[in-house]
Amino acid sequence: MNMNHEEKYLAERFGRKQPFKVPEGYFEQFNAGIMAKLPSCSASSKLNEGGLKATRWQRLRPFAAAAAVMAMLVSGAWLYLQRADGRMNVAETLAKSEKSMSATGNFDRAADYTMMENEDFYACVAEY
Amino acid sequence: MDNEITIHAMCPSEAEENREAFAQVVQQYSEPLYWKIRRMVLSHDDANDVLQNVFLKAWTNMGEFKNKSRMSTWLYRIAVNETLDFLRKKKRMDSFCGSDDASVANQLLADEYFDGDETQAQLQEAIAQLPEVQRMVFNLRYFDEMKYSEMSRLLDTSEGALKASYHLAVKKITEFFKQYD
Repeated sequence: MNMNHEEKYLAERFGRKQPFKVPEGYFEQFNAGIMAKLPSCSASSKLNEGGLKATRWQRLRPFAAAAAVMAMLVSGAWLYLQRADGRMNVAETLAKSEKSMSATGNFDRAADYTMMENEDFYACVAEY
Repeated sequence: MDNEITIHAMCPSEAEENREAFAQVVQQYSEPLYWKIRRMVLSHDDANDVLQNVFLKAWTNMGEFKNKSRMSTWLYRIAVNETLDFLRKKKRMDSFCGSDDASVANQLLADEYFDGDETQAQLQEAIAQLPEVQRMVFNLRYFDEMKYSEMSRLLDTSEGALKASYHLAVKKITEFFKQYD
């Protein structure tokens, strides 16, 4: 290892020995102890939630949800427009029937003007 | 080097098999991990706590270890993060509680699991004054003689930055002693 003079100074003065120790048998006890503390199947089920590769359905789920929402919106819009068209048809029908009613009304007024009985007048007109 | 022990992402039927494999991981890595942690936290009890957290975290997150790196690198990375988290938490607690100002050297000399003399205790005092990450870099390079390339993978930092950090740490520690010489 290349050392500059400062590092050499530290190595010569202090060495590289670790000045720490552990209780007797610490690592053997640690190894046994930690295995006893490990959670069991709950850990593996946690791994299933977060760590394992998602199934195809899990990957597609958000897209399916978005598609379902879009379908609902489109259906709702279509239904609304259908009803709106329906209302227009009714309006048109009403307008037509008003026209036809006004034609009938003119006929009745003509009948009044000639001072004929309506039935007679209608009968006369019907011959033509 | 690593005798790589393969641990698969777990499903309940494989849990027992993986528990045995994990026991081998603990057997192989507990001691090297312990010393890396201990040099940072100084106290045996603290090192023991951090080491337990490292293995518990490794066990819980084993499904995320996808063999993209070596097992040793993955474990050391967990150890580095747990150690730094511990030190930061301890610093916050100490400043909040206004804890006792006994120097690091005096605390170590009173510690039954400190095996050094006053000179060694003073070196640890000087190292303890470095910022945490720089302290980590210094310990890994000076005591473990870890290559910068390996340290770079472990700390996810460029080799250039690590070299600069180490040389700065050496300079600070040297100046610490030269002012008392």
